[in-house]
Amino acid sequence: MGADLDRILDHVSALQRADISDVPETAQVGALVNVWREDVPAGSLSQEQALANAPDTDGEYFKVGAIQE
Amino acid sequence: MSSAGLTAAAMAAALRRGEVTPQELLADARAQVSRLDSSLNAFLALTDDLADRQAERATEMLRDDRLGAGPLCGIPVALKDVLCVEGYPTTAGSRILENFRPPYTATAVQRLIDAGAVPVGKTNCDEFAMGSSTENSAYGTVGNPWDVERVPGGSSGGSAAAVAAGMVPISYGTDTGGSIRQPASLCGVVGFKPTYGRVSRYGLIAFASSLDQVGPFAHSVEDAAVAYAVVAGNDPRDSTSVIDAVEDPLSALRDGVRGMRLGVPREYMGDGLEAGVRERVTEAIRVLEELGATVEEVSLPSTELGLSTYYIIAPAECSSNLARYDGVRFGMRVERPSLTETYLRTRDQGFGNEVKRRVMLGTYALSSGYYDAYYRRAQKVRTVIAREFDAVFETVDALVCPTSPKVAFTTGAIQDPVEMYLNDALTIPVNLAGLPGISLPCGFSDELPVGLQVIAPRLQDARVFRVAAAYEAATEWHRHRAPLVAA
Repeated sequence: MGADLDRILDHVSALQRADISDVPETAQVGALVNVWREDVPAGSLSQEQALANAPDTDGEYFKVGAIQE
Repeated sequence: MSSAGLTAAAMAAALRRGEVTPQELLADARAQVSRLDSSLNAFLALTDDLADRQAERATEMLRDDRLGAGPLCGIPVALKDVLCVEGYPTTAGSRILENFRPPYTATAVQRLIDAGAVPVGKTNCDEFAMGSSTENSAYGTVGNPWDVERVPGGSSGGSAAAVAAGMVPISYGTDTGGSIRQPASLCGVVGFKPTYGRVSRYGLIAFASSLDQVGPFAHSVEDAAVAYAVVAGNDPRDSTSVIDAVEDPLSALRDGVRGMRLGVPREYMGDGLEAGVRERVTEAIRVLEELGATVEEVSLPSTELGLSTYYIIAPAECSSNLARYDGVRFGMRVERPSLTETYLRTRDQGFGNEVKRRVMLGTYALSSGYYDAYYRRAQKVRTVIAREFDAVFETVDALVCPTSPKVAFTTGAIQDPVEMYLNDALTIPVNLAGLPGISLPCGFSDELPVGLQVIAPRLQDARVFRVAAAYEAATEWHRHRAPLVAA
C-alpha cells in the first residue's frame, strides 16, 4: 500500500509543472449561481426509517460504545 | 423465440403490436440472467417483487392510452448498485453496505418507475465506483460477454455486461472518470455520460460529487437517447442539477453530420493507443468524413495532466464523502471497546484496498501544508483543461477520438494502480470539464470491441447523439452481439 501511494504521488507530481499563474480554481463546472428554494416544510424520514439500518439501537436512538473512559 | 439481444425500440414496437407482454419480456430477461450470470456475475441482486409490480403497471399503461406509456414502458432495465431503490439491497459493491436497504429511491430510478420501466436487478461494480475493471467489487469480478476471461471495464462493468449479454436492453451506470464510456467500449455497447448536472444525483451513492453523473447503456444510439431522456431534467433535490430545459435528444438524431466540423484531438491519438484501437478509430473518423463532416486535427495541450488532476480531485472528494461510513447510523460495524477503535476496525474491514488508497490520497491532498500544492493546484489545472475544451469548441462542433486506449484485458493482468488509471486517460478530461460524451461500437481488434468517443460542449447532449447516430446509421457494428447472447 505504501509503495502504491508513492507511485501515485510520483505520477501526480506532474501537476507541479503546470503553468497556472492567474488561473482561478474550478469551484463547479456548471453555470449555476445561488440555487434557492422556497422554505416549505416537507416530510422527512420517520424515526423508525432512520434507525432501520443502524447496527445497534435502543429503539429510539443510535447506540454506540462509551466515548469517555 | 427469446427477445434477448433486441433493442429497446424493437421491444417497445413488439409490445405495441401486442406480440409480446411486459411479463414475457421480463421472463426472457430472467432466463438470460439465470443462464449466463453464473459465469458473468453481472448482477448483485434481483429486484423480483419490484419487477413483477412494474410489469403489471406497464401492462396497465399500455392498455390505457390516457396513462401515457412512453418508450421505456414495459422494458426490462438494470441499475448499477450505487443507485438507491427503497427497500432493496444497495451495496455500492462494498462490504460496508452489505446489509444496507435505502429508506428512499433515487430520482433517476423513480423516473424509470414512473415511466413503467421494469427494473430487473442491481448490477455489480467497482467498490463505490472506484476502478476501471470491476475487479474492485467486494462481490467478485465480472466477465466480459465477448470473452469471460477478460474484464468488462469499470466501474459500471455489471451494467455494461448485462446489456452486452442480452440480459436487458438498457441499463444505467455512473461515470465519474469514464465509468460508463470505458466499459461500454470494452463490452461493445453504447454508453452515454450526460453533461454534468443533467441527471439528478439524488439517491446516488456519492463518490466524487463534482464529477459523478448517471447515464445509460444500450445496444443503439437511439435507445441510449431514449434512456437518457427519461431520467434527465432538473431535480430540486439535487442543488447541482441543471435548471435549463433538456433539449430533446431525439430531435437531431436523423440530421446527419453533413457540414459539421469535427475535431480530432492530437493528444488522444498518441503513443498510448493499441494499434487495433488506432486503426478502428481512424477508419471511423474516415466514415464521418465520407458522410460530409469536415474533420481537422485540434490540440488539447493539457490532456496529459488530466489524470493527475483527477487523481487529486476525485480522491479528495471521496475521502470527504466516505467519512459517513462510521458504523453508527447504517452499514457494517465492527464493535470494539472504544468508539475510535470501532471506527478504525469498521473502516479497515469494510473497505477494500482501492477505496482505502483513495481515502488516504484524498485526506493527504486536503491536509494542511499539502492543500495548496495538491488540491488547490489541481482545481486550477482543472480550469485550464476546461478552457482548452472551450477554445477548441470555437472552431469545431464536436470531438471524435478513442474511448479507451485498449480493448478488454485479461482479469488480473493489471496490478499496478497507475497502469490501471491510464485506462481512463481519454475519458477523465470530459468529466473534469463537465461535458457530455458517448462511446459507441466502431469495430473489433482481435475479436474484441473497440469504442469511438464523441464529445460535445456543455449542454449539447443532443449533438453527441446526432454525431453518434450518423456514424451508427452508416455502419453495422452495433448489430453485432456477443456469441453467448444466443442460447
